[in-house]
Amino acid sequence: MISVRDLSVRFGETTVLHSVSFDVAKGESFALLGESGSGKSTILKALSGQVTDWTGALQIADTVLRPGHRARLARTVQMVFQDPFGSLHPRRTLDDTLSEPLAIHGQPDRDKRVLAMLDAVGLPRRFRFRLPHQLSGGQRQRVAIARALMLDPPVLLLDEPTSALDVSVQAEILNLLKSLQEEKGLTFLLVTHDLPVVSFMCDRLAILRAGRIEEMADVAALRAARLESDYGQELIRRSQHG
Amino acid sequence: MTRFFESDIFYAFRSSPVAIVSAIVTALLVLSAVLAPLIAPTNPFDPASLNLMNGFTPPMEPNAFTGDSFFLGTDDQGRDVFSTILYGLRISLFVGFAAVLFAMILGILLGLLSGYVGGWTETIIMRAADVQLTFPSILVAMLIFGIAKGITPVEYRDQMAIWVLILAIGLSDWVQFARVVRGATLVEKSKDYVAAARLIGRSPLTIMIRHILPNVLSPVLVIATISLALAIIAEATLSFLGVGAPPTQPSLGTLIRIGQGFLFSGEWWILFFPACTLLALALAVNLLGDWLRDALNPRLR
Repeated sequence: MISVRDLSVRFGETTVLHSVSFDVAKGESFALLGESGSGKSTILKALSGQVTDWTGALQIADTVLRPGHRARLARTVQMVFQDPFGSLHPRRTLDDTLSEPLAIHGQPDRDKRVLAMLDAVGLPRRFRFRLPHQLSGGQRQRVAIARALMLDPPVLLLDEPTSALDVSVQAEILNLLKSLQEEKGLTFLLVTHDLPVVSFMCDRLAILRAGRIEEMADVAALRAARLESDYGQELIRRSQHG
Repeated sequence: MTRFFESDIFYAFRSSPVAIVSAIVTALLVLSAVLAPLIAPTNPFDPASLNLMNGFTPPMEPNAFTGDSFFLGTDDQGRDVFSTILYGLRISLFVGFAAVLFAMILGILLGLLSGYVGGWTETIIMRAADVQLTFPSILVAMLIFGIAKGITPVEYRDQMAIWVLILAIGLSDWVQFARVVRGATLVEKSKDYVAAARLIGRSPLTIMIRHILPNVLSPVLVIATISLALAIIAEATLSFLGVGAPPTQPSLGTLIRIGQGFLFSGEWWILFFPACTLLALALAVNLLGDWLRDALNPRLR
């Protein structure tokens, strides 16, 4: 579903990614694990067309991305951002936010689909005409997930979707994402530095460090604390003590 | 509407006497300017209604020849000063509002464009703004006024004067709007909701207008209010210098210029009352702008 081959990204003089390669199968959850600055978010930006200055080969579903071009990806891939306070237009109601993607792509039944999506992400229908500042962080993140799913994309990029939320709310959002994935057969590419999130959500993971993939592993290896690389072991140790 | 009365802004307004007084003064002046034809005892633009014998009547005293009495006296041509002030206020306010509106639209468009697009577009627009800032705005206005006067035929000059004034003041005032909007745009552009809008396939133009613009408007509102006071003063200055509103359509500045000629011969009221009106207007609008800036600034609460 997602294929990344020799992806390198430079910002001016600095190389943030050094020929990174991995594949994600349809319906799979793949985690990119690493500290801040390791380049994990840059991979998402390249895949979603927010960064166009890269070399290598990228493909999502049937769409081949080319460097320097903004591909029409809206119906193939959508993204959920880290901070639900910054990812919603502060002066628009949920209804505006959710029906906007449908309006742009000329899709019918907006009314029905907005209501159905509110149900799907577990928001009461009466929230439909509220503004973002009237919602809690977890509710906003549900709205952000709903917006990402409005166009029924097969692939969802998740950029630390729970790290800005309270622990109890984190679990709710993760459960929601997991059940949506099963229901709709979505493919997830999840960026995080949180090991428990990976072992709960994902099938496979790649550990990134300073723009290189240090190790790729099944989540079973993570759960059993049997990662092969020294850096992977260090992450496990830190997560257990931290 | 109830949302407005329950808002923080309205609460801040209610608890600030300065804001209330300046709002009342501004409202009164704007209202009397709008209703000038109904309030004014005479129409100072209608030469047929004027009696030269009424010239130089002091305020509240009957004229020695005709016995007519005028609230604020008359000028050299027997025009009622109170009426000329009302009509002058109309022109001053119209020019002020229109100039700020023009500056605001121009500044917002250029600021949004340079902030969102960046690169060469930004460089060119912001350098132009820098160059503009090195000239005093009154010089820019006089330059534009001079050029416009040169290219309009003589018979249209008086009609054109008002529009040229608006253009001149507007063009010398757009820079601060552009700078503030550019700064705010740079902040908003990096937020995730803009990235999300791009991902769902919004075009850059729509993102600028529907996503970024509504979120950069509150500083613009403050600048617009303060600019309004400055624009009114700029108009008065230009008219006082004789390059603004023509004597056939006198603004407050023109009235002050006319009155200035009689100051030392004892007819003080011809200068004094228009000057007081200008002072009250500029002060009230300025205080209102200052208050609005503080009220919208969360750090000062």
